[in-house]
Amino acid sequence: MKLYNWGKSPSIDARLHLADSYSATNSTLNQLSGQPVIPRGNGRCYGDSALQKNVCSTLKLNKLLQLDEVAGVVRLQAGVLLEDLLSVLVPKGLFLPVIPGTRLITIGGAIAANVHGKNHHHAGAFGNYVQSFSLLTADGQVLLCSRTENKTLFKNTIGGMGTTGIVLEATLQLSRIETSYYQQQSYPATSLSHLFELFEQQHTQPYLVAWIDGLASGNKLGRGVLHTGKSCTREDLESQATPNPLQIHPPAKLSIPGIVPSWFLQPIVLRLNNGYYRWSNRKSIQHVKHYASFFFPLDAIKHWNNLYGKKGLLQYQFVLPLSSSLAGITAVLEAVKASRLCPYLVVLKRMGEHAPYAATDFPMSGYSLAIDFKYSPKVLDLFHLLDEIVIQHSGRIYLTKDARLPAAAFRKMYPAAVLHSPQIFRSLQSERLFDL
Amino acid sequence: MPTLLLLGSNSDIGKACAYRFAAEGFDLLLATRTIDEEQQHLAADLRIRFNIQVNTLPFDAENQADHSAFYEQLPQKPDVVLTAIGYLGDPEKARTNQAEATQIINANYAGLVPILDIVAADMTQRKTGTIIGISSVAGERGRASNYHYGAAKAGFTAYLSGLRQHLRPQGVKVITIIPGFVRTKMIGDLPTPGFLTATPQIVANTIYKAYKQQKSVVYTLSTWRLIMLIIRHIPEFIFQRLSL
Ligand SMILES: Cc1cc2nc3c(=O)[nH]c(=O)nc-3n(C[C@H](O)[C@H](O)[C@H](O)COP(=O)(O)OP(=O)(O)OC[C@H]3O[C@@H](n4cnc5c(N)ncnc54)[C@H](O)[C@@H]3O)c2cc1C
Ligand SMILES: NC(=O)c1ccc[n+]([C@@H]2O[C@H](COP(=O)([O-])OP(=O)(O)OC[C@H]3O[C@@H](n4cnc5c(N)ncnc54)[C@H](OP(=O)(O)O)[C@@H]3O)[C@@H](O)[C@H]2O)c1
Repeated sequence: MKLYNWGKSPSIDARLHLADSYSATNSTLNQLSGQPVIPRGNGRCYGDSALQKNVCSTLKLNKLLQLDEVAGVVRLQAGVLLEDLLSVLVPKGLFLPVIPGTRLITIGGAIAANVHGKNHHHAGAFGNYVQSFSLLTADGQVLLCSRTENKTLFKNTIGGMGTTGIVLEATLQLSRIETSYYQQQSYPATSLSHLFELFEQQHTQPYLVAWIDGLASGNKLGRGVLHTGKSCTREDLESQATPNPLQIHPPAKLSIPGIVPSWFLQPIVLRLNNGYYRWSNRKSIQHVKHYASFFFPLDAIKHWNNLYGKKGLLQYQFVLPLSSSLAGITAVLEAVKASRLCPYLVVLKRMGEHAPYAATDFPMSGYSLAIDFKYSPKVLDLFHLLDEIVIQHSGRIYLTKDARLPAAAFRKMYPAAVLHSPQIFRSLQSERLFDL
Repeated sequence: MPTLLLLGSNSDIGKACAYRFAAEGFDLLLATRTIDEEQQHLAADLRIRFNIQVNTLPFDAENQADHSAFYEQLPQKPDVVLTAIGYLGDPEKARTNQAEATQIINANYAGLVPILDIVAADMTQRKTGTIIGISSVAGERGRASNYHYGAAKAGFTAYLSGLRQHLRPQGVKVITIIPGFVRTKMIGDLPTPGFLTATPQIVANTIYKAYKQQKSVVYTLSTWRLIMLIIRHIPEFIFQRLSL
């Protein structure tokens, strides 16, 4: 079957093995007898991280195994979707300490990419809350890995992009919430340095994320809006007409069909960018948002990647150390501007201290910027330019969003990276990055 | 909370039914031949998601002598009993191999009768309950391709029909479910026409609806009712010449 991820390219003819038990997963490996294979969750990475001729899907490993409500600990299979887990946790006042921008990813994908949310500066990445997991390795063993057992394998799997083996199940530390609502405050910034100042001023807020007007230039370059947020208490909600303080997310109602022409989005985005900035510039706005719209605004529309047409989208997400962030991000925005390509969505996040995991793990203390483009060959040229800026500023790009990074640039960004079982667990991405 | 006894809880259709009934607040007694890790995971998942009681119990339709002890030892008596047990077997092998033929007959019919007789007696005494049996369109007319299976399903359909008449005055309901193709491990990768092939979830929804509305005989995917009507009415002298 044709298989591709969220950005739609590359796409390959692959065999998808759907195992519904650990023993079936193991027999899949046996049957492949040494052919390369890569684990796959919900295919929400953008490029080729979850692609290979043989792919082992975890989507049927979707069982919750144990929930200790008192200790706030859950043991569950790797193919459980965050969306599914949250609908069980939220009514019990439990939540995930780290939430990415979509709830449609699996636990395995969250571990393998060591995903981060808008609270990295406070809470770090997903891996911090993984107590242990069991991993099916290339030789067919199932190993329990934690901070005390099989320590190296534990570390190398978090942010390891599926190259150490298949996570079968995991035990996670949860957080507590009084309500499933968040208080969001928005602060407009007239330039990138202004935006950075706001980030540092608001550092004590648990959630921080900024939207940047990718079309602004000159002394307005990098203008945008910072959104801060924190979880609402019951008291905070009293003035609101919210019947159920622990309401779960509603199902997505809108879906974009796969037939939208690729010119569709650009004029809309151009107007929106401008309009949104003007609108939020009028005053700093405060409102209460449900977690669905606070964390997952994009999930309200299913298959929104279809808005980018048949060829899909490319995202460039990178992180720079704090000291070079302002200079590096300025240079990147200028290069984007000079390319005359349309940046559809530009998002800036602050990352905090980061515990070391796999050598391909992404986060570091500093700033991370993500820019979405409609697929075109010119965008690929631009990305080469951006790679150089990122390397110059001692940064790196996020592999789970990548579809094209050349091996040479990869080695500069991730000098310690190695493949753990190069014959068995490797994706198209590993083959590209490690020149296999 | 009402309780569902699910015979054949490792069946793909059965599992979908477990989720469907759990979502309505049913406690579950999951009965299956082998209680392996996967069955335990299934039980744990159902407990956590739906805050219900779930027990897993060993049950083999072929061990008919054990059925009465099995039913005696249930932690609670069920309000609804659903059997999803079935075995397609190897139709070609069954033609000459008696063990294979017997296993097909037992799993689809003979091994289900003792346990359902016991359930029927208990429900009669309690003057309440629902028995749901999954039969098959294969039982509507014997065909060359799988006549042992078809015959066993025909026997099961007839049994359920008679049981329904018998139990009606006792306030006990019997429902016959007649699926066409369903995408489960029973048919594997067998190519089947999409519009005639249901998913286990569709079948589970149909079964729950049949239970709620206290239906008697329900086809899953209603087109099958029409198809089988036609097939049943093809004159035998033509039918025997067809390859179906
Ligand atoms: C709209 C949108 C918003 C996003 N926002 C964020 C964000 O805010 N922060 C962020 O960090 N990410 C974000 N992402 C990226 C996403 O969280 C990651 O790509 C994640 O890894 C996808 O998980 P998945 O289950 O879909 O895995 P897949 O995409 O299927 O696989 C991703 C990687 O995980 C590996 N993998 C999957 N399952 C297993 C397993 N069981 N064992 C071992 N390896 C496994 C695969 O081999 C592959 O390398 C976003 C993506 C989208 C589409
Ligand atoms: N799939 C279809 O197209 C289709 C069409 C019409 C009717 N049906 C009927 O639907 C029902 C459910 O089948 P399914 O499609 O869900 O297939 P399935 O997944 O193969 O389920 C059949 C189940 O029956 C169990 N079983 C077989 N012999 C048994 C015995 N002696 N004792 C206890 N359990 C036994 C099997 O147990 P193990 O797991 O231990 O092997 C299996 O779990 C069956 O009655 C089948 O005949 C299916």
